[in-house]
Amino acid sequence: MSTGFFNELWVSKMMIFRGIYMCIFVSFTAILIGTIIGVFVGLALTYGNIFTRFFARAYVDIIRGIPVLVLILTIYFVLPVIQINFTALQAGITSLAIFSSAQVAEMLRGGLQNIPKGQTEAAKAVGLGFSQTFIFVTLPQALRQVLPTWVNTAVETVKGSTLISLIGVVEITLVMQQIIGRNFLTMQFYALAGLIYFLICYSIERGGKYVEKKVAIK
Amino acid sequence: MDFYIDYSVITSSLGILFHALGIDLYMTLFSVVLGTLIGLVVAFALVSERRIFRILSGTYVAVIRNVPLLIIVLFIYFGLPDAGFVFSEIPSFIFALTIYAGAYVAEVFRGGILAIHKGVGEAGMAIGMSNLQIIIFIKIPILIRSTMPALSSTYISIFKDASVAAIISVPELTFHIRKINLETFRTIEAWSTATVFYVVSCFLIAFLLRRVERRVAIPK
Amino acid sequence: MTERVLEISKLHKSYGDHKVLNGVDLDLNGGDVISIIGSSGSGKTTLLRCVNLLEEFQEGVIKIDGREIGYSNSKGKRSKVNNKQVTKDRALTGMVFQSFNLFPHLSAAENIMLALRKVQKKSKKESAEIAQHWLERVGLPDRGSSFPGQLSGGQQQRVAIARAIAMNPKLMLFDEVTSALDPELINEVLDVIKSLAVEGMTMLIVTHEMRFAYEVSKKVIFMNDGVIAEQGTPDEIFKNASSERLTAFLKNTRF
Repeated sequence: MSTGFFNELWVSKMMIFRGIYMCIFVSFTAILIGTIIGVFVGLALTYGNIFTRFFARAYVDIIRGIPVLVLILTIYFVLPVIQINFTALQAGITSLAIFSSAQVAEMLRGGLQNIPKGQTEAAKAVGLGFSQTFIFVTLPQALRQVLPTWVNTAVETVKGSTLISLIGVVEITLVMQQIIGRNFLTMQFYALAGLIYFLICYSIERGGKYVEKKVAIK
Repeated sequence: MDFYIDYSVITSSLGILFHALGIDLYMTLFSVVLGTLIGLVVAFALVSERRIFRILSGTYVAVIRNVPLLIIVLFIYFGLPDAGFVFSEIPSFIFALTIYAGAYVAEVFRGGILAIHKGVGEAGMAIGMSNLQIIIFIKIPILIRSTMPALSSTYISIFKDASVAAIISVPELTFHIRKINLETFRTIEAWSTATVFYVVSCFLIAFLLRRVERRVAIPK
Repeated sequence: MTERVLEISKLHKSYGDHKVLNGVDLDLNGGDVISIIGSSGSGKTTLLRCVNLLEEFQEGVIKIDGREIGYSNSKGKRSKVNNKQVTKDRALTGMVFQSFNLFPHLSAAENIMLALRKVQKKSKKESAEIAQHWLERVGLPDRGSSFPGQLSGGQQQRVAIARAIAMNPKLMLFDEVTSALDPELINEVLDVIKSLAVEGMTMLIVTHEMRFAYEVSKKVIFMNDGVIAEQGTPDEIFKNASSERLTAFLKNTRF
């Protein structure tokens, strides 16, 4: 790499930091909202009556059946048509939240249904009610089970956030494109983008593994 | 504002849209086949007794799985030409998607290899098979059968990821839908069509793969 | 049939500091059936696995038909033979495992045919005939197209025996082949092994079935702490146990 790269890097450092901040802000908010929605949809999938189950299933299957990019573009272009005026940032966060909510819902359903029937039967046998059984027996086991998949969804959401550069949100990818547009150091700055994403995602993955070990049932 | 629904712009370009979907499927098929071969080799390297193989393959998988596909695509399509490697849109995208698929498939296969009962390999040794023969005739066939469900969902993800090709102007489905949207302003029609195309395609691919799964499943 | 098939001398094997085999000597002539008994951890399974070269060993020599296997000694320097030779040496013996280890993705007949075709390079037709012959021999003439998952444990173990013996080994090794079976399925497997003994197959059998060992063996070996603690005819071992250890061991096993 030439000294030109480091010069350019120094000049653009604040832009890059802002891009990183934006990426983390968007991803964090999307995962947070997505997890809350996903838990409700997941519960509907598992314990709902036939109607709620049907709608929850349709929601999850449709969201999981379309690419994140299509989801982002759909939300961004369709919302104004139906008179909802979101900024690009809001539209981006909304689409990533919807994306992660479907993942969370599906993993939670799997986790809840994987718990052996004997567990709920034993809980009933000692006199726990439905919600007590859920809070004290089923959920703690299900959460441990879904943790690795949830961490995976978080990583996928961070990776998916690159695609909101397409609707004009100035996150890492778009920052890099702006920098490259000025100095034409294409390889170097895309490689830098890759490195930054790697560090973010790898930290999430490692952090997840650490928590997994901490809460593991021995 | 009064809006009305008019799907005529969609119906008049159905031929183009199916052709565009064909490009997605074509790129997916290419990447999935090559990615599976890469994944197979990398997976055996991941569980190898040789440290150097483990380090190289582990680095590949960790890096690719933690870098967004779009960055890989942009690096290959816009970056590599600076180093003298010029490919047109579709080959560069297939290249990127193949590398991407390889890492995910490798991870699936790694789990599968570890799950194969150790005694099965020993039984192969006991009847005089070489290590290579054991891998080819015993481990790989068991592996592919046992990991088929996980492979299927990886393949479907790869199909969805093919939409990223729109960003480097590959004329695939998402690219055309966006074009129709921008040219005709039939926004709802365009994106509902995209949803239907993708959801139905994923459903059909899943259906086909499940049939394959059942065919190759180990009888019980 | 009195030629020496197997010769084990001064076999030592350890995992790190833990000695598993501590100088084992054992000879087998053609047609001999020898059973090895002993508590778990006595080294009997490890001994069998060394003969099949599934385990490396630090000292000692194993010869089959008078030729050393697995290692070579030239001018006092001991070295492992290459992988290709290990594979060849291994093919001299047939091994049947406690956990069957059938290939789950292949039918019973294909399990037997695989090595015939890929190792012995026999034609498909010939391999199929050999497979059918041995399936009949172990009492499963019409189960050739069944997959392991569709067979009972006893049937799987009989297929595993057929798979090993179809390779035409000099010596058959049986490693606690009935330990993983339900009690009612044990006899069908033991009966197959007995009939092979009657036909003159050379066999080394690690077993917990004392009555079977008594009936089938020419000689019984009692292993303890990695050495052969006692050996003799079945009558000597089971009826006139002399050492304290053997008496204690026999007292704790069903006969």
